[in-house]
Amino acid sequence: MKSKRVLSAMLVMTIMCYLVSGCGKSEQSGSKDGTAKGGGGNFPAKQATIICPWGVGGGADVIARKIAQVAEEHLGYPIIVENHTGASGTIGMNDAAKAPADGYTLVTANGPLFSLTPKFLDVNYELSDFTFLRGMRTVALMIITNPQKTDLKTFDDVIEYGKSEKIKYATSSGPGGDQYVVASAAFKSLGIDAEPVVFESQAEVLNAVVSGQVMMGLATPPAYYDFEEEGTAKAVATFYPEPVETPFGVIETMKNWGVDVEFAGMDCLAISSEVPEDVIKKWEEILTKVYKDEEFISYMEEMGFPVWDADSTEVQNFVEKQMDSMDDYVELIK
Amino acid sequence: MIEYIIAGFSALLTFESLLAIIIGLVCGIVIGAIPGLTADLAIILCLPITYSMDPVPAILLCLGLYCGGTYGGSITAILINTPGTPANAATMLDGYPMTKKGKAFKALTMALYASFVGGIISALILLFAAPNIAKITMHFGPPEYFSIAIFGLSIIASISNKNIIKGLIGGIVGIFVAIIGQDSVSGVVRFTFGSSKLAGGIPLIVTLVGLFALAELISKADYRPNEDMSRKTKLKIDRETVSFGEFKRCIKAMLVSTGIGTIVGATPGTGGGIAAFISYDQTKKMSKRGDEFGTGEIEGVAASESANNATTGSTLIPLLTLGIPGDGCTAILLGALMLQGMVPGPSLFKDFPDTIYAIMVGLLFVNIFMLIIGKLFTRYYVNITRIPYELMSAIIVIYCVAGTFSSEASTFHVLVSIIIGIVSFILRKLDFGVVPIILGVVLGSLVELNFRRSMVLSNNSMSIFISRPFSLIFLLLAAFSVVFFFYKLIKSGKKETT
Repeated sequence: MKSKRVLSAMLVMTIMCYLVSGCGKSEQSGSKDGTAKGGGGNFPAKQATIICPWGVGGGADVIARKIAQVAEEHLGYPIIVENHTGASGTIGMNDAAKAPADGYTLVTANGPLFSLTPKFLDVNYELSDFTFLRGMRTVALMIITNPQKTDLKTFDDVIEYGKSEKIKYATSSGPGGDQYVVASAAFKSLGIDAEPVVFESQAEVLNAVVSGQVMMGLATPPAYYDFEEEGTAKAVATFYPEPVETPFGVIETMKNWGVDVEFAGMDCLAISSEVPEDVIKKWEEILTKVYKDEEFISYMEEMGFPVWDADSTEVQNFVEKQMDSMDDYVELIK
Repeated sequence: MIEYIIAGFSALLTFESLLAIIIGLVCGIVIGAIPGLTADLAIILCLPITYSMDPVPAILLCLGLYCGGTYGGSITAILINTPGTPANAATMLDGYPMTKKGKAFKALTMALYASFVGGIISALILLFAAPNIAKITMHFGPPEYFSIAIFGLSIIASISNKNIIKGLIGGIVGIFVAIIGQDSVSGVVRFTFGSSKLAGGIPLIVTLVGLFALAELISKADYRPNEDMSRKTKLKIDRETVSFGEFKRCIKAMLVSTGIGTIVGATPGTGGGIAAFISYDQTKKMSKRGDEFGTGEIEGVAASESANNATTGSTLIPLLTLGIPGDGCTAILLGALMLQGMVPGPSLFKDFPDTIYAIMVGLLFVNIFMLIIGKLFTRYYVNITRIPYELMSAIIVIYCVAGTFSSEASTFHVLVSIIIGIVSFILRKLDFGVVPIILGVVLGSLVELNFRRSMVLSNNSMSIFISRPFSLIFLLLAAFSVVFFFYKLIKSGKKETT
């Protein structure tokens, strides 16, 4: 008899668990079911979602989560970050493009999703599908060597080495990825034979360089600073359009070596272009408040993320310009 | 270091931290036990809550979910032949046969003890040896990862026994599933048949749910409650617990498996599932009762559960020292740490020593609480086997669908897992084992990726795999594993003919 009671209690608990989780889910997907109702007069009326096309814990993801956390107070409703990962970020972008244009679904995007990925993969979105809301951060891509285990202490050494040997460099993006395309274009225009060793993450790239498994790698600040401090890594050149100031000195751009290849990484927030004007305005107002928020500013500083407080037009121009230059690079490395 | 540990203790011994551990564990065990829901998902769901918490309780909550989830998955693996998480697939091999013999309580208790032993030893190793182990594993590169994965695949031999051809076919089917999607080395999209949804590959949880849970349900479709003998005779669940003799017998298995789990866990990109299979296989070879493995041998449960829980401490080694996550769960933990403003890497120990030591000491507490909570509740879990199967199956289906949907928030993946379930059912009917398939799925992409990386590094020379000591060791182990299998096969063949 006792066991029967325990059994029925367990059953009830399971059903309750299911109901609770079920309700949670339907609430989450609520943003997708809603449809645009004329203007955004009653916006905001429910929770919003930020789709992140990359995994949990990446730069764009953690910044998006911080923005969501701070913006919640200004929106008055919870903001949930959902990671729709896979296929170089296009799955998340496709989902964002398909989401109802009611203003409750934002997406974190970057330049290459428009300038590069569509050249290699079939995608169901284009630049005109999205309106950019705000820049998030800019990222400078650096060439990193290990001065302890190799003789490569400057980019001149790298060029010299490349004249006689095939260069192998560690990167966290394969063919079709931004790092691969710009690095290949740069090495090709220098007449150097180079091949990437593709790793899963930047931490793995740095580990491969620091432990001496590869001669050099591509990484972004401040991830490699710890290693540069202990002398096992050194930035020798950057693909950024302007020289980059780091705690260890100024890193020169590719132009310094006569290479006309430049690349600035960035993350930004975007929303469907079909969202009513006034809703977009409201988001811009909320984001302005977030970017002025002390908590957000100090978090970005602590993490070493340079905030890119660019407005819609700035981001749009940035992406359009990058689309043009990527066309040239891809043509070059064909 | 001692002063850091003491400081860590004082940061840990707050009401909030201890509560976080207990809540994390209870939720972790429940979610881990539900097929389709994994500790990864639990941590993702908890991330928003951790914002507002202090770093120590926030991370301890995640660690409670992680350890509880890894242990909790063993409950359903033992009771209903469906692993709650990928890490518990090996527990099924002997855990479920034990349940069928009415020894579910004993199996669950052993799983708990083994999880505790594995978890606490690896937590101690993390606390005292993390920087030293990190110094070794940081020199592990593509050739070493490749060799470890090959070693993992070699287990197909001993798991398939005489069915070696079907085992190999199963392994290849698994590898095929693993390579669907965009190849990250060349960027080429493979075997997606034009579907952009498949370009991202098939998430492991989707495969797992289809392969085990749904296929198990389909194969029970002809179940007739009225003709179920065990129900008519009221199958008695033995309340017999693990005897001291049995525990003593399992000590060797647990220690070896904990060692294997610690090494595999500290190697990025692997995880509890591989550790459990390797340990299961090694224990089977070492044990006097090796031939009884697979029929409900308690050492099998002890081996796989101590190994997968041993990875919970050691996956934190590369995470905290190098910023490299050891498995899917720690990749999310990385995010949780970053949300707290801590960037994992070499400076973490310098910049946040109190917090890091509190977390590492906290992991010891997580394991101790896990033992206590498990002890209190094991007697209730057993009753799951009393739930009428027709009800149980309905509940499992609901969770499977919810779990596969939540992994990518897409109904497409629910469909994929149903298709995998049907294929898995047909393969079962044709007498194929599903374990080689899951090994292929888990290890296939690891083998391929690291082989290709190694080839780039070595200018296409195979010698890279034998010129590096650690890589050579793992390859020799793999070779030994296969040779040992054939030796035994020939020996038993001779016995049969004479």
